[in-house]
Amino acid sequence: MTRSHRMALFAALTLMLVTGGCDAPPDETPTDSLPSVTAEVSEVRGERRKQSDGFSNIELQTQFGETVHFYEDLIRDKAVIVNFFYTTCAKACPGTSAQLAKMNDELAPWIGQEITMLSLSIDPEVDDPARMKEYWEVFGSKPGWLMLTGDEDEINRVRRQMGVYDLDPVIDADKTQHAGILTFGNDRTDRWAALPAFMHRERMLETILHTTKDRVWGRLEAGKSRATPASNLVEAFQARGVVRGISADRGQITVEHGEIPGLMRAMTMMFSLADPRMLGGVEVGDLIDFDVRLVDGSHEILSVVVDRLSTSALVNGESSLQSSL
Amino acid sequence: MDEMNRRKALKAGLISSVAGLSLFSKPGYAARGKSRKDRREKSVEVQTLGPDGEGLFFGYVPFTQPCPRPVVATPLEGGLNRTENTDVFGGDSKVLMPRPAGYGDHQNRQGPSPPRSVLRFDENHNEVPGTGIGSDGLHDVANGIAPEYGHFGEMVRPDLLQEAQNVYGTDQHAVEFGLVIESTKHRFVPNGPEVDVFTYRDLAAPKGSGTIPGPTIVSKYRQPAVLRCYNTLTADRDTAEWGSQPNHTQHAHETSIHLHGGHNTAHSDGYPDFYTLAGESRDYWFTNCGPQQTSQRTGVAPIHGEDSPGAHEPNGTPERDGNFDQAWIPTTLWYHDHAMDVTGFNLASGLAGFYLVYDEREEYLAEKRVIPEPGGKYDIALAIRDEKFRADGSVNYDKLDHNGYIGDVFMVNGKVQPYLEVEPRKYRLRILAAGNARFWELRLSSEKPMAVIGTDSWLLPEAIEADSVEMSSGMRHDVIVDFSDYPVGEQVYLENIMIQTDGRKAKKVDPSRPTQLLQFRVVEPDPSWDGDDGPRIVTGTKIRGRDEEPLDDGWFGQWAQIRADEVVNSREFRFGRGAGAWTVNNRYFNPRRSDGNPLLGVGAESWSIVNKAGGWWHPIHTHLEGHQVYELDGEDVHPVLGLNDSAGKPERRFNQDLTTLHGGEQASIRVKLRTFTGPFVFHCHTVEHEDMRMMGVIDPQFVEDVSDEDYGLIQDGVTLERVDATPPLDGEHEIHAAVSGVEFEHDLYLNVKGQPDACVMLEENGFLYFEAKEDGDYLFDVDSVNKRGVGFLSKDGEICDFDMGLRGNRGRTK
Repeated sequence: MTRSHRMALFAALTLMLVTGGCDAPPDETPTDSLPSVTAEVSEVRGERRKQSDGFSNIELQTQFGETVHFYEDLIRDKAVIVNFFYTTCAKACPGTSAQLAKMNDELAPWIGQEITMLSLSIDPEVDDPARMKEYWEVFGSKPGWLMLTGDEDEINRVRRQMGVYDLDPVIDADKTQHAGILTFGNDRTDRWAALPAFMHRERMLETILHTTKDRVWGRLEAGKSRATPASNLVEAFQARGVVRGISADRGQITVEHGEIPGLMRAMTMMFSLADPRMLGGVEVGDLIDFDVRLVDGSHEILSVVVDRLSTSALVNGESSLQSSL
Repeated sequence: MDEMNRRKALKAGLISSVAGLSLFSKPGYAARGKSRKDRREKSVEVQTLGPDGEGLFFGYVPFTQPCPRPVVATPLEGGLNRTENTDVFGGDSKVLMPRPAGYGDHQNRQGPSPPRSVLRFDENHNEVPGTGIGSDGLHDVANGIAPEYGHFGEMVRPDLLQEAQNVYGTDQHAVEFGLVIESTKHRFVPNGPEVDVFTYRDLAAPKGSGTIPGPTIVSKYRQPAVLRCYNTLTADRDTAEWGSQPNHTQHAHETSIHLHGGHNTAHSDGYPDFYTLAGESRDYWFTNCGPQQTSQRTGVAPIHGEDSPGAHEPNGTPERDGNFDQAWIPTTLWYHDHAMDVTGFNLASGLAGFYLVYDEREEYLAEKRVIPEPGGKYDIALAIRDEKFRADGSVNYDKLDHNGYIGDVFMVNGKVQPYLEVEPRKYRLRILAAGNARFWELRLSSEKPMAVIGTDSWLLPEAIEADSVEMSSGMRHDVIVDFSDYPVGEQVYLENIMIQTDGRKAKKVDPSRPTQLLQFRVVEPDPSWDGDDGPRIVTGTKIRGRDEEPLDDGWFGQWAQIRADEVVNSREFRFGRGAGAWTVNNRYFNPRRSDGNPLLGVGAESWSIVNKAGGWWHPIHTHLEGHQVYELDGEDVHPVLGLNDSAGKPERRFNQDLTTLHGGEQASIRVKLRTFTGPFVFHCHTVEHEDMRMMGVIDPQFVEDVSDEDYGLIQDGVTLERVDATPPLDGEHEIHAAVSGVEFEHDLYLNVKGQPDACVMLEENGFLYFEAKEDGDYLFDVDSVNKRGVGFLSKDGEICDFDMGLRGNRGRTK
């Protein structure tokens, strides 16, 4: 028997087990438990076996009326926080939604791009896009938060695939039982976990960040930074920020800057200076325009111009940092 | 093989039985009332594969591969005695991390409080004789690795404190074990595929040679050891040289080692988020001793004082036993991963191993051939597990199955249904239920009883013969099986008769449908054996003895019950289910919140542990200390009432660190909290429930009983100072690094890692990563710093300032 034969046979046997296809007497079928959910794990979607192999690619509508596919558009290579709700739910859902809205604020730096919030309606007959949009607006129209509706059976299948179900069919039939669980994960790292929505929020945020923000293969190729395309072209980026620290002897400067399109997002960081003499006349608190480039994986400032006018406006409190950047 | 036979084979053996309809309210006990004859009348349908089992699980025919014995870890010379640097990550292997001297900074009210019973004063402010440094055998366990043992009560003499720090707060330690956590390959069956797993590997063993279970660590009682753990599960291909292959999960994996059954400090107890992060190492200090004897303050005399009956007997000298409670001398422990939210995955991936401690009594029993030599040829550790596989042979762990991971392939010591050759003589089998969520009812296929000599981490006072033993995830049963009962050539099986199909509970015990796990093949005895196998172990055979009763062998009984008059406090912990997750007293686990602050060293507590979780079963595990069960569903199961009076399983009425609460059950357990302040967890050991926050925290505290007039007291020319206790966890504040052993202070961290001069944010496919750099070189992954378990991301400002408030919202959804 060849290896592939064996594999195929084992697969077939597994399937038999899963579907209860063996010649088990009927009285041995458990009546007080639902069939195993993990057994539905089906296709192999990539090189590696992943949790998401078991997620159905069902069609859903967002609160904006867009049609999306659960696995392909919302899960694949993404990080998500998933919960199940329905707009007419008076018990656990509003609390969970309020919790999500708060978390949306707290996770703001990551929400939308890195982490998406997905709330799937388990009462899709009632919850059409318009109704969900209204619900979304009630909870603050938070970005990166999709409400999704679709076919009830399909959504329930996804719900079970996400581990949000109860072995007791009576409890499982009670929709309110499923509203309090947040399932979160990162498909790239294949890390998944779930937590009760009403636990200590900061602890939950810690865990969500642990679980979703792990990197995959840091320094993928030794010496190549992933921040820019793998080319050695010296490209200068224009940026604006406030000087937070100056280290003259090391020729370095710490800048709190706004987004540098194409290079990095808003952050405070230390830069090397191409020529330390640039520091002449620059003081901590100055608002500067500067050019920065990436050299061998490290960032270097090429030129600095102090924006005196805006600096004084900032110092005098006439403008906010947000607006200045 | 035709389809029908294959189906039969499938149904049997490798695949767990399908549940029946009927449900017993107490499945574990259902079979107990029947005589063996009754059971024989039913036809026994053995759930095993016949010779035509080919084709199942990569062609493996059960009981055709040998059962491996776990490898034994090599002790390394410790600390400053070391002659060469063996550090995997290139650090200084002589230096301990966490640092011993860093623990208990009393002057600044940081760190945990010290044990209170070491230096005592009487009402006239005179030092109580026999207290203080060196009077109690604490040197034995301190030895540079457990300075907590060497500290003093709340009243200290600074000079003695300094002396203690000088003695204990050093890198000097005698025995050290090196464990490398690595991603490697494992074959569950001889012709099956090599499967990606995580393993513990002995530092001295070649890369990639990690085993399931991990190397067995063997320690002598009261001989402390350092376990140095290297986590190579990084997300960094460049660090692949640490293991034999890159981490197969391709992302950083945090770990935390818990020595299950050990009596250790909080920083060495595998608290769920006191991580050993990927690319980092951590030293666990294992005391290998019993708890400190209960304080005299309660009027409860220590079992071994100068005047106790056994004080000058072989097993009762203060020089030997010091203040240790010999009722709790550990023997069969195991270490396993305990990292928050991912314990289930880490266990299913292979992170578990045995840890054995032997003491003078065990050596004596072995010398008299009552039990086989500890760790010897006839003392075999067996980790039984169930696992689920995909068609390609890889482990199929569902990270979102919160009910409990129930496998359908059974293995012993990492091999599917193996065989073990045994000689016709006594064997000590240390059976560990290493599965994530499965309950077992184990028996021998011959239906001859096994002599239980120990449950969980401790030996019983007397052996108890049992037809079968019930086990939950994490439990251990130390049993003696005498294979001279069988003719050479006979095959006997260790088999499971508990039927279970999901993580909620077992369905029932069905003696008519056993699943065979391990085949014993009785072979000819070793010709060099003199044939003397000592006395036969039967119910009542003295093992530790109890209550200082004089034993025939000249020893005095060691095991003691926790008496009702020792109980000073009662608590109730209700284990429940709330909105699809798990609760203790209606609260979800929070690693920064204490759910109870018992007083240390003061008598005992009575805990009512209640399972009202809708029929689910929950095995409850206590850290720091084991417990004794006194009541089960209102029924008295007092261990001293006698062996036959106890309801349920009599062998589980002594010392244990796990008590199974079947659906609806409640138990009254007694526990003494001693020696160390917390935090320590207690939790359901169905690992998926634990990961879903079915944990509570106790943070034991020392009682403040120093009167103000004691302030400023001068003794021997030195002014006494008062040491204030650390406040218990309040749910909000960080845990001091000295308690967690997590050196979060940037200076300390950066001394190890290097000083970053820049932070770089990397972006790929909408994912952001932060790296700290020095001279343009990668230093460390900033996200990994955030995962140290102490503190939130925004507190990282001193290394790289990512002020979340300033970053604005980058959402791209409408």
